Parts: sequence; structure tokens; C-alpha cells
Amino acid sequence: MEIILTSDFLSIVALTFTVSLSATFLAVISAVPLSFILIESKSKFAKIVVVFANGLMSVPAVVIGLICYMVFSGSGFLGFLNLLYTPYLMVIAQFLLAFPITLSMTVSSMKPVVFSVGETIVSLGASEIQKKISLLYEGRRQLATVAIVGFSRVVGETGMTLMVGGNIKGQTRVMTTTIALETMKGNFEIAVYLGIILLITALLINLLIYLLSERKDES
Amino acid sequence: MNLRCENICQKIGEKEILKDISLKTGENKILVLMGPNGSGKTTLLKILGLLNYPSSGEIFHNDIKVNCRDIEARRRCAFVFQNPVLLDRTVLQNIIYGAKKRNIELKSKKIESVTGMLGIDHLLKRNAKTLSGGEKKRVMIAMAIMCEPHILILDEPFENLDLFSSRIIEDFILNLRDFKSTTILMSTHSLSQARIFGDAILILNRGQIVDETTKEDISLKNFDFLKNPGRNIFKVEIKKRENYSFAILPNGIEIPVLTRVEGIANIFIPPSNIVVLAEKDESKSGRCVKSRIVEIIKDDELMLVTMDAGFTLDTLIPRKSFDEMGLYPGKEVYLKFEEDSIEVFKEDNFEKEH
Repeated sequence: MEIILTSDFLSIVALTFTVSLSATFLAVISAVPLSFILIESKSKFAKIVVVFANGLMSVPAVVIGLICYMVFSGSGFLGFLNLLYTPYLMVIAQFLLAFPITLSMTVSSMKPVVFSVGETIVSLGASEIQKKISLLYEGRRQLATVAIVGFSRVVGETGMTLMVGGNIKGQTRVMTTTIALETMKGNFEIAVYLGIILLITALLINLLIYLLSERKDES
Repeated sequence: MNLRCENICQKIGEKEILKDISLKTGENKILVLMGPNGSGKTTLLKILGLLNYPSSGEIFHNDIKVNCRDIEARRRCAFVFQNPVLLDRTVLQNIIYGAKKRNIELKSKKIESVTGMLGIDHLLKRNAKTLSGGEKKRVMIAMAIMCEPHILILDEPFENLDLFSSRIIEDFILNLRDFKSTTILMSTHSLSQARIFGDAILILNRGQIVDETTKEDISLKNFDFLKNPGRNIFKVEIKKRENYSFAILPNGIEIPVLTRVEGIANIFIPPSNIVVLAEKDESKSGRCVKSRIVEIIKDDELMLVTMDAGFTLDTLIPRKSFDEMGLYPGKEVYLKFEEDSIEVFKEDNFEKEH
């Protein structure tokens, strides 16, 4: 039990949440404005972008890891940035994984909000910026669900995180990569504790989504 | 403030929804738009309320040209939708939303007075999404009023409302015109409401103004374009039970009506207001009557179809619905009559008009 109070253990947990929350946050704040543009646009290009985003949702995470590795490795296009095996590249890779999901889900969940309440908001004299802010508030439960789903997609990712982070102790070691490593070493105690934390996280995420959808139904 | 539009046209794809509409409202008067479903009333109101751009044409507020991008012009208008969608927050927050966006000083006395008059003062803490249709409409009217608009646009404000809500809103609208100097545009299917409100009445059909009249002069003759509407006039007995009125049709079936009249009266069921259903609608509102298609009188985009429901009456059905339901002469269908879609005339008044 003392193992979970060690600084190594706590730094692994802290890094996991920092990386995944940062990636989710970036994915959501970039997906929301783009979703508004896509929802309100009448062009065919907007529809193509949505279809493309839907398609990208099914891209395997390791493929994203591979692309990131190739682009950011020493001989890669952005190798000069020296981001390989740093938490920054882990955030970038997780962002790329979460972005198509958050974009696609934001478009589909905010579309009814924009078309139904949007007209009411405009009719009450809101400016374009006031309208967007009000729509964000009106779609707050939908957006929270999107963020939770995005987070749950990236927090459990192993292969991709291992490829771009390198699982360096004290620097890029996160819960999933530690579980994989410690299990292979036969060191089950730490793996089990980390597994429990991941499991509790997953259960909490599901509980949150359930509570949000319940509130949505009530209203 | 007067509102004027010139040569408004609206096209969606190849379909012309509005054709060359020009109109002018009197200052602090009520302009009523009437016409069958699909005639373009809502489209025109949304354009006049600066919510949608027209394909062509111009809009003027006191002879100054305005458009949807002009936020000041938009803030002179307020719109009450036929099916209001309220914000996902409390009724009070909904009511003050528009006023806040327009930087209007919020006085608690005004909120109390408006919500009291509309009978929604007990709902202020409720989430607006949990309200009934009639309550939502009254809240939407309060939201619009709190914005202190110069031009108030009401899209079928009495649609699907019970008698109690209708009366409250009727009084409120007249009060607005007379004491708050508000120019009002409203659409309605109801001849009796046009008679109450229509300082000027425009009748739309297929995106065009086909007639122009006033509350003093309006009669069924203004609707001759609907093809022989006289066939849907019946002499009935109106009975009151608890707070509701019922008309007893020639086949003995009772249908709910919104009226203060009792005893023998005439009713007119506008062909466009009869909903034709392939299956019986078990919902509480209105009344479903089993019927049979007798004849297709006019085969057009809006089809004029004669029905036998134990008595003969005409209905107007959009071609799309007709095709989707696979209708043909002899087929059994259900006719749904909503209480607010039936015009009731005292027998003597009616005789005078015809």
C-alpha cells in the first residue's frame, strides 16, 4: 500500500492526468470554434470536413504514434524541435487522437442546439459574439460529454504514448506504459494499483456521462 | 415605428417561397397575415424580423433601409415563434436575457407586471425546458416584451393554446398596441382573431399577397382562392361542458371549439386547417374523425380533396403528404380538427356576412 505514496508513483499519476487533460483541453478548444463554422456553413466543403473527421475517428492510435515518431524524430520534418520522448510530443499525439472525436461529436451534438436555440438568441438581439457565448452555455452538457469522451479515449492509450514518449522514468512514464512495463517485469503490485486508478477513472467518466445525459433528459 | 418592405422575394433552390411582396405597417397598428399552411407567412415574418435574408428586396424602418447585419435594427424587433424554443435556464433568466443583451435597465416591478399579466409569475424559478407549450409561448412573449421592441412579430401566437392562455395573450397584445406604442405583425389562421386584431389584414397564398382587407371588412369571400370554402360551413349546436365548448357536427360527433358562443351557431372549418392522417392520432389535443376520400377536386401542389366523414367537407393536403400517405379516392383516413382552427359565428352575424 505504501507504494502508492512514493514520489515515483505519484509523479506517474500526475503526468498521466497532466498530459491527457492538456491534450483533451486543446482538442476541445480547437474543435468548438471549428464546429460552429462547420455547422453554420452551407458549403459542400464543410460536409466533406465532417465526413473526413468521422473517418479519422477510426484511425488506430499506433498509426498516429508512428506518424508523430517519423515527423519528430531526428531525421524527421520537425526533428529540429527535439520533442521526441518529451511530454510535449505525448500531448501533441494525444491531441491528434482526440481531435477527430471531439470535432465529430461537437458537430453532431451542437447542431440541434445551434439550429433550435440559435434563432431564439438572435431574435432577442444578441450580437454574433453574444450568440456564440450563449450557445456554448446552452450546449454545456453536450460539450462536457464531448470532453469526457475525448479524455477517456486518450488516457487509456498505451502503444502510441510509448512510441512518442519512450516510457522514460521520471520524465515520460505514464500509468498505461508503467502497467505494461511492470507486468512484463513480473512486478504486479504497482501494475495492479495503477490499474485500479485507471479503472476508477474509467468508472467515474462513465458515471459523469450518465449523470450529464440524465440531466439533459430531465431538461 | 413603421415597417416597410419592397419587392421581397425568397427562393430556396428553384422554389419560389415569396414572390415580390411589398407591404407597409401603420405606426402602432397591428398587421395580420393570413393564408393557408405553406403560403409563406413564417418565411415573410422571419425576413421582416431581420432573422433571415431575403433573396432580393429591401426592408425599411421609418424609411431607413435595414438588414440582418444591422444590430441596432435587429434590436428594434422582437419575435415570438410559433413553436418557441427557450433557453436551458430558469424562466426568469429567459425573460431577462434579451433585455440584458440590449442593455435595457431591468426593473423588478416591470418583470412582476409583465409576468403577472401573462400568468407566469409562479413559474420564474422553473427551468424553461420543463414548461408546457402554452406556458412556453407566454414566456416567449414575456421575453420579447422585456426587450421593449418597437416592432413585435408574432408567428401564430394562438396556435395550440388553450382558451385560458389565448384570452390572456389576446388582452396583452391589444394592451401593447394601445398603451406601449408597439407596431405588431402577426400571422394567424383564425378569422375571429383577424377580426379582433387586424387593423390591416393581408392574405397570402403561394408566396403572394392575394388580398388586402381590414378587421371590419374581412369575410370568407377573402378566401375564395381556396376554392369554394362555403362547403365547410355547418350549422351546429355549441355546448359548454366545464370550461370547454364543443360543436356537435352533422354526424353527431363532438369537436372542441374555442368560443364564447353557445347554442345554435355556424362553424367554418378552413380546408387548410384540417389535418389528414393515415392512422388515428390518440393524442389529447383536437379530435380525430374517421373519414373516406370521395374525390380529388384539384390536383396541384396543394390538393383539394373532398372527404366523407358522415357529412361532406373539403380538405387541402400538400401533394408531398398526399403522395407519402399513398392516398386515393375510396381510402379511409382520419381527419383531425384542432379547437383553435375552427371559426365559430353566431347565426345572425353569419347571415349578415353572407
